[in-house]
Amino acid sequence: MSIRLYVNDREYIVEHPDGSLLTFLRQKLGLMGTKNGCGDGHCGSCTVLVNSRARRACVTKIAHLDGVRVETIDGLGQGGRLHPLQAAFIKEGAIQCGFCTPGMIMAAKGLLDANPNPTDEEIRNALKHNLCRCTGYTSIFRAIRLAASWLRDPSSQPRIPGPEVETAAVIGVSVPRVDARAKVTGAPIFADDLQRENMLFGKLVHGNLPYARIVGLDIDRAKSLPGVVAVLTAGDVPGLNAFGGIVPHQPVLANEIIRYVGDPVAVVLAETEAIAAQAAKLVNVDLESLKPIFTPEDALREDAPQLQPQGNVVNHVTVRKGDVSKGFDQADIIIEDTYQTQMVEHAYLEPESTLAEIDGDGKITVYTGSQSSHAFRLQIARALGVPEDRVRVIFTATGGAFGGKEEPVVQIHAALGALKTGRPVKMTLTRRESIMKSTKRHAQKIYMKHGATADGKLVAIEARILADTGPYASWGMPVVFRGAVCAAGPYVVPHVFSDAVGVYTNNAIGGAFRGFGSTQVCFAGEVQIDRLARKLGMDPIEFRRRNALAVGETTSTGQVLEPSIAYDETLVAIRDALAKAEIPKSHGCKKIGVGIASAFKNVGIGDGKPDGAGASVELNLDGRIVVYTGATDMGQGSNTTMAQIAAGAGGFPLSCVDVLSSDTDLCLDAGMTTASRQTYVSGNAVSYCATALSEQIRQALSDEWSADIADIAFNKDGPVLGRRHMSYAKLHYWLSSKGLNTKVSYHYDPPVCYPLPKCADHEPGVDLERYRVHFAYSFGTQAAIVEVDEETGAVRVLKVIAAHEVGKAINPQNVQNQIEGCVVMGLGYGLMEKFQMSQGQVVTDTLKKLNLPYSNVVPDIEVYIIEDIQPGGPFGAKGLGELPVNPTAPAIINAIYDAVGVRLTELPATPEKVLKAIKARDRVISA
Amino acid sequence: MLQAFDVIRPRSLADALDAIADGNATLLAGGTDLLVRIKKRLLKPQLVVDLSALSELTEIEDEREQIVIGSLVTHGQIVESTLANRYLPVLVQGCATVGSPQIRNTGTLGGNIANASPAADSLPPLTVLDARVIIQSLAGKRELSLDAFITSPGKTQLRSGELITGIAVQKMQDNERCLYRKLGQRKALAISVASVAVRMAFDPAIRTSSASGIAFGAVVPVIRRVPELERMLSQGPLDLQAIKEISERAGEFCAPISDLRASAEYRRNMCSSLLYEVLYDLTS
Repeated sequence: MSIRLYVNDREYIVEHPDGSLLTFLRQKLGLMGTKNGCGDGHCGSCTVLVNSRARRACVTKIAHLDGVRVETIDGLGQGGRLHPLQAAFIKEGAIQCGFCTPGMIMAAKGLLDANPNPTDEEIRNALKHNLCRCTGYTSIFRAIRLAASWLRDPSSQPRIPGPEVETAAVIGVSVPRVDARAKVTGAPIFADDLQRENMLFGKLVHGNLPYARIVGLDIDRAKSLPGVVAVLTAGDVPGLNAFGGIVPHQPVLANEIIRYVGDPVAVVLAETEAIAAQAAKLVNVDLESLKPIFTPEDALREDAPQLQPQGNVVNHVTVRKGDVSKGFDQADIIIEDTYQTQMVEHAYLEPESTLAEIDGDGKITVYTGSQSSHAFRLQIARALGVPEDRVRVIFTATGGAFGGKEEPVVQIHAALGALKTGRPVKMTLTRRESIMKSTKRHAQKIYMKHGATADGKLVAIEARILADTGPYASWGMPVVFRGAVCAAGPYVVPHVFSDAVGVYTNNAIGGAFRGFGSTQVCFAGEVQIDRLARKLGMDPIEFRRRNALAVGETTSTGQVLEPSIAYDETLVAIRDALAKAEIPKSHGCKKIGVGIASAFKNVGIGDGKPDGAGASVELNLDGRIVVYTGATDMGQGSNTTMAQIAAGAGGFPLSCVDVLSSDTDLCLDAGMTTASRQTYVSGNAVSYCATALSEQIRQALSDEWSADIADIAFNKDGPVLGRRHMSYAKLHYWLSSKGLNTKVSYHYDPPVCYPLPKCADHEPGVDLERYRVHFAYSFGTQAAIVEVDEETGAVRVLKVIAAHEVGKAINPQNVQNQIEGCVVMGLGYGLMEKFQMSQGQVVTDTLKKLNLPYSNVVPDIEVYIIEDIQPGGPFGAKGLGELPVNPTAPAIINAIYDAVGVRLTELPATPEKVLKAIKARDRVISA
Repeated sequence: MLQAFDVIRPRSLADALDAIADGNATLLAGGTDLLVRIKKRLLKPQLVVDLSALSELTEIEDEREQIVIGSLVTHGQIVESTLANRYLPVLVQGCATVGSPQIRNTGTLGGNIANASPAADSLPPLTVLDARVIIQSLAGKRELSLDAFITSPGKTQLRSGELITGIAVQKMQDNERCLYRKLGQRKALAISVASVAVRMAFDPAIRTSSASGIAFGAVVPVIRRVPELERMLSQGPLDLQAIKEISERAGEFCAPISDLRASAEYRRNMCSSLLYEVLYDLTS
C-alpha cells in the first residue's frame, strides 16, 4: 500500500505509510518546524494544516492522509518574506520560548484562511488545543488580531523590524526579540531538532517503585536485542555517580536504593528510538520494596525511615525579629490559620532533550537547553571523571524552564553514552517521563498568625512552613530559605517569628520554580492580610499602604532597604485603575468579587553566596559586535535584553549586535539563570564590556582622526566622524594590526550581601550593611475581578490588573509579556493546576491531567509598569521574571471571598472546593 | 495494523436485512464510535455492514401525532430540521451540544441508541419524550420503548439479524415546556459533563405542572426517567422553595464516578444545580 500527499506543495509518495504525521514530518522529511511537545495531542505544538484545517500532527495517522495537502510552518515565510501572522507575532512579542509558536501560528492560519475577521471568541476557540506556558496567550490574541487586519489591508503592514534597530537608542524601546525570526519560522534551534550521522538514541530505565532496594538488575535480554549497542548501569559511571544543583547526592544511575519513581537504574543506547524503548522494557529490575514516606508530617515522625544519611530534614531556616509574644500582646486583632499549597509541574512545552558527541581527542560536546551550561558542565565532568575542560556544553534554545531546567536529567546520561560508545547520542524524554522525573514547585503547609492594632498597623507575624522537597535536596534548601525570609510579606513588621523546614519524602523532587518559595508564603500571607483588613473594616489597599515597606524601612531580616523601592506606587496604581475599571454587577447565582494581593521578592541569590556574572563583548572579524553571555534565554528574553544593553552602553546600533549565550568554551560563567538575577548581574557585566570596548575603539580612532573622542559615533556600517568613516570589518583589521584589543571581558559582582543574621534586631556597633541579605528586591500588586457561580462553585477570572515596579524597563513589551505570562501561570496555580501523586506514583501523568490553563480561561489583563531607577542596575533595571506570578493566586482567593464570603485556604480553588465552602457558609447562616 | 474484515454496503433496507440475517454482521452507521472501538481493538468484526447508502433511513417524517426519525438521521440534521425544531425542541438542544462539528454531522441517532452510551446527548431528551425504537428484521417489525430497549450500559434488546430503522416520538403539546442542559459547556468548568432533560406541561397561571419527565445524562449507568422526582413536580405549585427541594434530591438518583477532576459528591451536587437551573428557567 502506498499513499500520495503534498507537504508545503511538494508531492511525496509514501510506501507502507505507518506512524504519525509528526514522525513523518520530522524523521522522514527532516522538517523540524513542527515541534513535539507531548505526543498525546494535548499541547498543540505540532499543529499543522491538513486540507486547510488545523490538525495535531502527533495524533494524525499518516495512513489516513492519501491525497491531502499538508501545510507546516516550514513552508510559511519562505524566501525571506514572513507571512503576516509571523510578522504580527514578532510585532506583538507573542513569542517567548518559541516552542509552541509554530503550532500557534499554524492554528491561527487555519482560522484566518477560513475567517478573515474573527471575533475574540473565535480566536480563543481556534487555539483551544494549543498550550502556551510563557505568554499567557494575550499577546498571541493581539498578534492574531493584528495579522487579520494586515491580511485584510496589506498596505497597513509596516516593516519588521522597525527603523529603531538601526540606532543605539534602544533602552526602554520595545524592539523585536533577537531570536524572533528563528522562532516564528520553526527553525531547528531546539536540542531535539539536531541530527547527526550515526547517532544513537538513549532511553532511561526506571525502577517504578517510590522507595526500594535494588536486589538485581538483569540487562542481558535488553543487550541481546538487535540494534542495541550498549546498556549502561551504575558500574559504568566512571566518576561521581551523583548529581544535584547544590548537594550532589542524586544517583546518575542508582545501584543500591531508589528513592522516587524517577530514579533511573540503567540507560539503553540503540540505533533507533523504538529499539531503545523496546530494550528498556527488557531490562529486568528486581526490587525489594521499602517502607516509603509520602507526607512531610510522616517524615518528621521519630520512627520514620531515614531517606538520607543526615536524616529527613533538609534544612531549617529561622527568621527572628523583636519578640512576637510581646507583639501579639499589643495586637487588637489576631488572625491565624493553616494553609496548604499543592505541587505544581512546570510543564514547559519542550521536554528535556540533549545531543552529546565526542571528538577524536575524546572531548565531549553536549548540546542542550538549560538554565546554565556551566553548571551542567560541572555536573557532567564530575560524573564522567574528566576535567571540566574536556566537556563543552553548548546552549540550545530552551522551550521554557521556569526553574525546572536547573538539573540535568538526560545530559549526563547522553554524555556518558557518547563516552562509552564513541558515537553521538540523542536523548529526549517523553512527556510522561518528563512529568515523572522533573522537579516540582514544593507543596507546603503554612501556619500563619498575624496581629494588628485597631488603627491598622501590623505588629507581629508568626509563620511556620513545612515543605515537601521529595527525596533529594535539589534546590530545596534555598526554596525553604526564601519561604522563611519572605513570609512577612512586603510589610514593616516590628515582631516576626518565621520558621521554615524542608523535609525529604518519596514524592517527586521539590525544586526551583518561578517564585522559588516566595510564592507559597505570598498566598498564605496575602490572604491573612485581606482577613485583617476586612476585620478592621479597612480598605485592603489602604491597609497595605499603612504597612508598606519603603526605602529606609527594615525588613523582617533586619535589612534597611535602599532604593529602589516603589511598592507604594504599585498600590496607588491599582487603586486608581480599579476606580476606573468597569466592574460588572452580580446577577443571579453569578457573584462578582474583587481581590487584592501584593508580593515582594529578592533579585539575585544574596545570602552571602556567589552571585556574580561574567560576560564579553567583541568586535569580530566579520565586523559584528558579539555579546558573549552566560545568561540563558529560556524564553524570558535575556538575549534581547543583553543586546539592547550592549547597544545602549556601547553606542552601537542594535542591528550590529549579536548575542551568543552560554557556550562553555566561548562564554564566561554567569551563574544560574535564576532568582530574577541576570538582567541585573549579566546586564551590568555586558554594560561594562560594551562601554569599555566602545571607549577603547573611539580612543584609538580619536588619535588616528585627531578628533575628540566624544565626537566619534557608530552607525550601522561602522564608526563615523562627520564625513569620515570606517567599516566594522576594516575596524577589526585596523585595531588588530595596531595590537589593540577587539574584545573586552569582565566579571561583575553585585553589591556584597551577607548571610541571613540569626537575629534581625540591629546589634549596637554592627554595621547596618551586615544586614543586607539581598542587593535588590522587586515589588508588585495585583487586583483580580472574578465571577463565582454559587451553584457550581466555578470561578471565572474576568480581569487581572497588575502593577509592577521594575527599576527600568529595558524592553517594555517584554516586561508586559512577562507579567501577562506570570498572571496566567498564577491563575493556574490559584484555581486549576495540581501535580498529583498517589502512593509515590504519578497520577497526573499527562499535560491534560495537570489541568493547565488553556486560552479559554485567560482573563483580560491590564498591566502597569512602574519605573523607579535602581541605582547600580544596568540603566536602572532590576529583575522581574518571577515576582508577578506571586500575587495572582491570593488576589483571586481574596476576590472569591469578596464575591461569596468564603475563604479558601487550600490551593487550587477548584469548583468543588469553592462549592463545598459555599455550602458550609449556608449551613452556618441557616443555623 | 488493523485486522482485515469484509465490508458490504447494501443499497436498500431489504438488502441490508438480508445481509445481517445470519447474525454475524457488525453494523456501521456514522462510524464515530464503531471505528474507534475497532481501532482500539475492543471489537474484532468479521463482516461490517455499512448502512450509509440506505437513504430511506435518513428522513424525518411528520406522522400526525408523532414524528418518526430515520435511524441514520445525524445530530446535525436534527439541529437543522424544521420539524424537530417545531415539535421536538428539546431533542434539538441535545443534538446541538454534541462536541465537534464532525461528530455532529456523522454521528446518527440510531447509532447513539444502539450504543446505549450513558453520555450520549440525544438520549436524555429522547427519554423524557418517551421515544419508541422501531426495529426491523426479515421476520418483521417491532417497537419497544427506549426505556425497555436499553437494558444496561452498552447493552440493548437488539437481537441478531435486527436493525434499528427509526425512532418514533410524540409531538410535544403547546402547553409543554422542555429543556436540556449540559454542564461542562461552561468554559471555566473543566470537568466532565453531567446533563439533564426536563419536560413538563406547565400552567403559568397556577404555577403547576401536570405530566412531566426528568432524565439525567452522564451520571447514571443507564439513562432513565426519574419518577420519584417527576411526582414531586406535580405535587403543588412550583415556587422557588419547591424547586429547591426537588433539585436538592437530584443527587439521590444519580450514580456518578469520582476521578481526578471532581468527586462523585461534587457531581451529585452539580446534578442538583443543573436541575435547579432548568426548573427555574422552565417556570419563569
